[in-house]
Amino acid sequence: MSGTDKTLFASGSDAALDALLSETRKREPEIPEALTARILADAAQVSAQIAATRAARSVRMERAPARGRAFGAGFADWLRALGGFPAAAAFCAALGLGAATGAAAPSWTGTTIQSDGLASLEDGQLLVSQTIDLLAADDPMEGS
Amino acid sequence: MALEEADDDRLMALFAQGDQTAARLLTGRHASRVLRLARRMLNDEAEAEDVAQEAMLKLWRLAPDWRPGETKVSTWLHRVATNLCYDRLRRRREQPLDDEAAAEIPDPDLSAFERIDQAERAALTRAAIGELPERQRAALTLRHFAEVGNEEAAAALGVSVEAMESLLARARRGLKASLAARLGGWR
Repeated sequence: MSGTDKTLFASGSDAALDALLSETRKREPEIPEALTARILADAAQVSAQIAATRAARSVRMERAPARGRAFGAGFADWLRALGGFPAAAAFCAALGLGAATGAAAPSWTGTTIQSDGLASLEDGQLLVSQTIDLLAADDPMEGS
Repeated sequence: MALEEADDDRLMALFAQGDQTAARLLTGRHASRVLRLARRMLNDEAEAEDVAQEAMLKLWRLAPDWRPGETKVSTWLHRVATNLCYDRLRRRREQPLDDEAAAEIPDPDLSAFERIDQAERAALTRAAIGELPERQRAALTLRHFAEVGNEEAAAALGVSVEAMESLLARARRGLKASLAARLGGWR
């Protein structure tokens, strides 16, 4: 802004203000290389963290069904030890848990309970496994 | 398609998959404008660099959850940078200026327009911008230093376009008055 610009400036117009702002912006120094390096170092670090989180999540997802199967098998053993579903329902009712467990058992899996309870045990085992998978997939701590 | 031509959403997705070239391209596209915004908001180079770095760091961390098309990377960055500047200005208000910082503010009575060169005019203009109220300063800086349109500047400030235009108009009036006092000759 010199020469005729001086006249522009003296006019106090919007164009003069724009010219002054433009002149000021053009004098802004470039982004320092050291800052760019810091930003990219951060990017590399975050990238590594993202990869590590993904790897950990993948391992958990692989292990979750196995955990579910182990839990389901233990649950099945417990029911068998009690003498199958009817006996387990009676046991739960005796403990005052009838409404929560024994009484709800027939509709729990949506399948017909067989007298020895084996079909339900398999369904129950599957349901437990699926639930654990879902819980593992929806773990709110994932990605933190 | 060459990576250089990929849009920001695509680069964010690539970065989330570990692509460091995408990080370089995003930095090249946005970091300097974020830095200019922070410089004019804070009038302090070291603080402005910290803000630019912090805003970019937040962007990297968001990459795995970035939702394409929801907002522009530039808008998001400007909003984050503006808020980071507000935070720092708030903290600054709680502490008196030290002697060194006070010395960086030019004396408004020192120079008439005819006697100063471009560098001095730029310095005086920066100082005048620095004295604008925060939101007006943010509006003016986004438009004239980060060089974004009114719509994007409004989104970055979280206000309507009309409110953004009002802030900008007030900022320009304030700046003119301030420069008239500093440079002389401005009616």
